Amino acid sequence: MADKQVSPLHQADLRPLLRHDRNILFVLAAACFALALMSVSVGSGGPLHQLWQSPESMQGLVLELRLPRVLGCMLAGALLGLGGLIAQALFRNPLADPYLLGTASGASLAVTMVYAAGLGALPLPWLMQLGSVFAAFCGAWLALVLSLLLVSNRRPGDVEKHVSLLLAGVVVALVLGALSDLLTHLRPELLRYRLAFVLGQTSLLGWDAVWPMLLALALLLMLTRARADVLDALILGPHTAASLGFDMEKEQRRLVVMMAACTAIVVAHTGLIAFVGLLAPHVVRPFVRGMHRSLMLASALAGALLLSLADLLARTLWMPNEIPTGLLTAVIGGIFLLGLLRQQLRG
Amino acid sequence: MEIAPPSPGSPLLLRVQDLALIRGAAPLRRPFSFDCASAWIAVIGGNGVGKSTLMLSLAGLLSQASGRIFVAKRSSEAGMLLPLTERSQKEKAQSIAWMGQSESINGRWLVADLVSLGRLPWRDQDNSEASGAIHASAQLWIEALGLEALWHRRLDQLSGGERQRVLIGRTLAVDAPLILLDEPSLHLDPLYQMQLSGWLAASASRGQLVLTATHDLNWALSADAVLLLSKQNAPLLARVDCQNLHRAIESEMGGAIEIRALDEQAGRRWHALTRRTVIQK
Repeated sequence: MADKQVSPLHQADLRPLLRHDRNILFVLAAACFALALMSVSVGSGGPLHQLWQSPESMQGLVLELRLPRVLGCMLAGALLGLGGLIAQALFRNPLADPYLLGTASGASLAVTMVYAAGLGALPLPWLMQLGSVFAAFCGAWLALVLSLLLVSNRRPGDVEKHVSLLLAGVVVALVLGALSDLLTHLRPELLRYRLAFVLGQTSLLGWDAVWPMLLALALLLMLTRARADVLDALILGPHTAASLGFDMEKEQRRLVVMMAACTAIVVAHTGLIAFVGLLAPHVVRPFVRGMHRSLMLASALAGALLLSLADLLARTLWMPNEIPTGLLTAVIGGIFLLGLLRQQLRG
Repeated sequence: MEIAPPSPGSPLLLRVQDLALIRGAAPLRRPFSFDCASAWIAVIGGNGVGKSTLMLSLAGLLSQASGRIFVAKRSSEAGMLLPLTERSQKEKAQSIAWMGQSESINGRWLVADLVSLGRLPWRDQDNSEASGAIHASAQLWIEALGLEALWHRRLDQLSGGERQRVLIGRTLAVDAPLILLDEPSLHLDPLYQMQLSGWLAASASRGQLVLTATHDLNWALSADAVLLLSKQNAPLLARVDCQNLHRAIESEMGGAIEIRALDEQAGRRWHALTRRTVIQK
């Protein structure tokens, strides 16, 4: 009888569950591929089969504009989905998103400052040279460093650090947000640019965005896979995770940096796309086992799907105009969250 | 102060030297020492005296005001005690298993996956032959906790008692020589309380030292020994038969209980009976 039982100590018996997870991943990947094909085929320039005939428009429209945009959305969505998963595991909160710890506000302030320098409001001409992409990237990291510095003087070995880290992040976000508000108050013309950034848009994704995001995604997937054990142990709380052999201070710092990396690279190219990081893990959790080894790929694929879908709708709902993608993710996200809430209340 | 170990003759698994906790009742914030060999020891005391703090300190999860804690390595080096501060994270994780009070869990975890988290301290070694021996003994606590019926269930579908059994299972899966359980009998049905006691009572023969912090006096009196944490007096560690211990417990509980011997055949020797207080009109 002992042979027939499924015991967690005999990994071989979990094979049917692993196969189920792999099936889900396959379905998600297939959906991404289908969506990518569909996205490349439609757009304000005309459907693919028409463009196929003329090689210049094929090259110009499809290869230079649509393809990188679609790929960029997939990659950005995947990074956000991964970041959201790490955030929710690290902070043990289902409503956590990768923009915690002030990275969003830092990027927003940096971009506002770049435009302010461009308008002459700030006497820092070298900011214009940086460009908004690089500035947003740096701004996100600087905000994270600030949050980490605020909690660095805690007693060593204090396992509850993540709570103080969250609070530090809130403080940093508030202060940096206030500074952005100050700039836009002094020069109201900045509001347009800041709004565009804060809403988030995918229209500027070109090949120069795709390559760095692809590298970042590959690297972060590998790193997350290496740290999947810590993410698993964390669900039992920081004390239990420490008792299972993890140096919680080091691990928390590592995870925070990984989360910020996911966010910074996306935010630099797309602005603040709402909800994708928050939602992607929730979309896949009912179907995949709780272990982060399975969950991370699924969450990344779900994020890719969500953002690509939002981008497709953004381009096609109001042709030939474009709705900022961030607006759509906010609407879709809001509806999803409502559904989740109702499900929770019912059961 | 030195307290006699509960089972003289067997190798020591835990040595506490001049330990003073950072919070709790006054006697615990002054240095105290004790030694333990393999046994089941119930840690009891009033609310807020510092049971959980002591468990956290012994597990190396909370710093102490002073003192040193020595823990044995795996049974292959029986008798060798090393100070906690000189152990690597991994060695500590393999030597000490700790369970806190009612941890909440997010997400849809399967019972099998959650219990297998207890094997994380062994993640670099589970392919060796040593893992075969570990699996054999696991069957005992798997049966005692009734986990076979729960493997494929999801954690958020379980009742409080079932979830508690899963969490205990996670802790026992570590297979450490020192096991610290904080309030393990909470929410458990009498059947599982009894089966857990049965497994715990065999700790000495398995070469494990289990400390269970509990407020359930009757359950505590089924242990091999009791560590009484008092709000006024120094901690007292004694075998469960010791009459001094009984008097000390009664006085610590303010005379609200009386410890009597029960019928040996009923499976338990000592029982704490509540004294009825009659309100004079």
